[in-house]
Amino acid sequence: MTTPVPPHTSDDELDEADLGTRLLSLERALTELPAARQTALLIGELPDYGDVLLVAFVPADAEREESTQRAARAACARLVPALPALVIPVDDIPYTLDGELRGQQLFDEMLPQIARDLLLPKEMSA
Amino acid sequence: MIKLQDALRHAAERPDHVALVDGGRRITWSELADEIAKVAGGLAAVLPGGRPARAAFLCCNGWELVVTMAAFETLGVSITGLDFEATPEATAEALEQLRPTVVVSSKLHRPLLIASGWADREGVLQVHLHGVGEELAAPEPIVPDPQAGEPVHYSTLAAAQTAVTAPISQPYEHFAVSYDAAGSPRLVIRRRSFEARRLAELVDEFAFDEDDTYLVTVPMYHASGPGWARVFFALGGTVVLGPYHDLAEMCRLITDEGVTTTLMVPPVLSRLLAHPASAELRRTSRLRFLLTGGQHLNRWIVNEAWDRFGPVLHHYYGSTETGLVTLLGPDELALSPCRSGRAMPGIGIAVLDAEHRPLPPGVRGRVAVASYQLMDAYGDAPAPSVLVDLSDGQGPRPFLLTGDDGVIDYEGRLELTGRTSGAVRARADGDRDSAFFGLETELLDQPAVRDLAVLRVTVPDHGPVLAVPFVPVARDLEASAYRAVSAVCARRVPWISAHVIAVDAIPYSPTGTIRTGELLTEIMPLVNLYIHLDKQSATEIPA
Repeated sequence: MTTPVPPHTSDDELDEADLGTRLLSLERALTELPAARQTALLIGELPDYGDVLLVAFVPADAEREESTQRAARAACARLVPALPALVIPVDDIPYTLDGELRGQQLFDEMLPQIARDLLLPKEMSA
Repeated sequence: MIKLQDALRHAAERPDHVALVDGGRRITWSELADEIAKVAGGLAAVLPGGRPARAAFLCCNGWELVVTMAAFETLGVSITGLDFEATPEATAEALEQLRPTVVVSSKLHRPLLIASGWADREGVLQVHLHGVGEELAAPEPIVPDPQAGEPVHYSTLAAAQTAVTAPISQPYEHFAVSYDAAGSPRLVIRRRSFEARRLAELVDEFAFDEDDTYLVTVPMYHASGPGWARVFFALGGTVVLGPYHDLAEMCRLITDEGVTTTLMVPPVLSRLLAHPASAELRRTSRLRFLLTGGQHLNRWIVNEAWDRFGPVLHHYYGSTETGLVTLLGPDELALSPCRSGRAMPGIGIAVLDAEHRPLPPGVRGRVAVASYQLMDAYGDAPAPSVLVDLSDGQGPRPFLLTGDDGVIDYEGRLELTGRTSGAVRARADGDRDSAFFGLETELLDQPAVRDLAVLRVTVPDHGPVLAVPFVPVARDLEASAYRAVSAVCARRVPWISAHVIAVDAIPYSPTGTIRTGELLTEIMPLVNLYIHLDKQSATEIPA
């Protein structure tokens, strides 16, 4: 059974509830990635960029890292097209001892790679 | 945890059977019953009067904590664990809500207690446990009326001459602390015990018995820690205290101690399954029931657990407020969405709309639970419950509204679809991160730099530093590249010390992401050396 996703019309019409539903659907899709040991979904607020969808994943092995990244990117584009998305492989995802995601810590650790992914193509093509 | 009466019963039936394993220490049922009796006696002699006793603890798992918790349960005093990774503010708030008369702590986490302002609260008894690596103090005689603020050591309690077997006279109340998404604590109160019924349901469902060995992998402040350990203590089995982070040791314990049952949160389970030492567990372990729960369970974990352990993985849904709600066995889990479950016996589940009306199968809404395990109140506020009639012949009954969204499928399984609080948000730290954000781009523009990475690292005993490994375009330009990179760092991010290091190559993953772990392994010895040299020169050269 699939969780219903409301039809997407335009960015202007995307309200918080709609976004919430889409994010949950995305989270569910990410948990079903067969070659990701762990995944985490964040909304990062970045200077000059605003909200960016950030997906961190720990690849099960190097061979399937690229395919997992492609699958996660496709899920982001399909389910939450209103937000730019970055899908970043990481060595580990930080959690508390009782299993809660340490979102800010993960974000801080990903920031250099986020900067690279967001800034470098733009700067190089300028 | 376990009451003395139950420990004495097991001690009579199987005195030499190991009840508790903590590192190299193995405690038999006979020894455990004796220790609980003495500590309960010691505690009864020093409990502050004036208001009903209630205790809080701030320490890692250890045999002393288990005995202390059992002693408090024997006395009929609720003992509540606090998250030792929480902030001092959250800890202070939790303690203000709980208002304990006794605070139990170990040396490692006492700084947090001091920062929260509860290390020397008037009228509050401080009990000090010995942490890892601490010397056991010589026991002192029990002082009937200890000076205010003066701590009582575990060894003193355990030296009590008077054993206590009966609870003190006060109404039953059980407290637990849950933390919301923002990390703020909420006091969860229950005024009746559900343990006996839950134990009967679990034994009936999974045939747990006195030959089971349970491995604890979560901290005791988490409701599931003592909750599941209690099941196997109650049956007269063996409880093994495992390490939180040492996965090789966890694998060894599973094999050597003959662990049959355990609970792991998905991140720990994921790391265990990725650890080489777990590859042999299917052949060497007796594991028959592996429980996990929470939103981070994914398909890889489900598949890999089957490969490595066989069909043992069960998925549960529950919380501090609701207790255990659903469970799904390995066969069904392999074919269902990862966050699914079936209601445990005696538990009702409803998915409600915004007006708290039941929704039909297949429609997403807010999850509500009717159960004998539900909490009664959040502090002074009543539990957020509503009356719901599921048209199942039971009439309207109270359901607790959870913070989770879900959908009931056409086969009666509940699938969680997320939290009502929404996705986790994180933000860049204003101007500092703005400056940091463009740093790497500017550094890569330096003509003598071929490639480069910027890593923020927190060095123990030093704090955050910037590590900047770079690859020069040519060996003879390494010095000028070093100067250029250092100058840009000093200009753009002057508040953080930058350590610029020449490397042969920046390692990348197949998708072009920097292999941070590999890179840090290569450069951290040099970063640590530079920090050490910086400190030394600061000491040697007077200002």
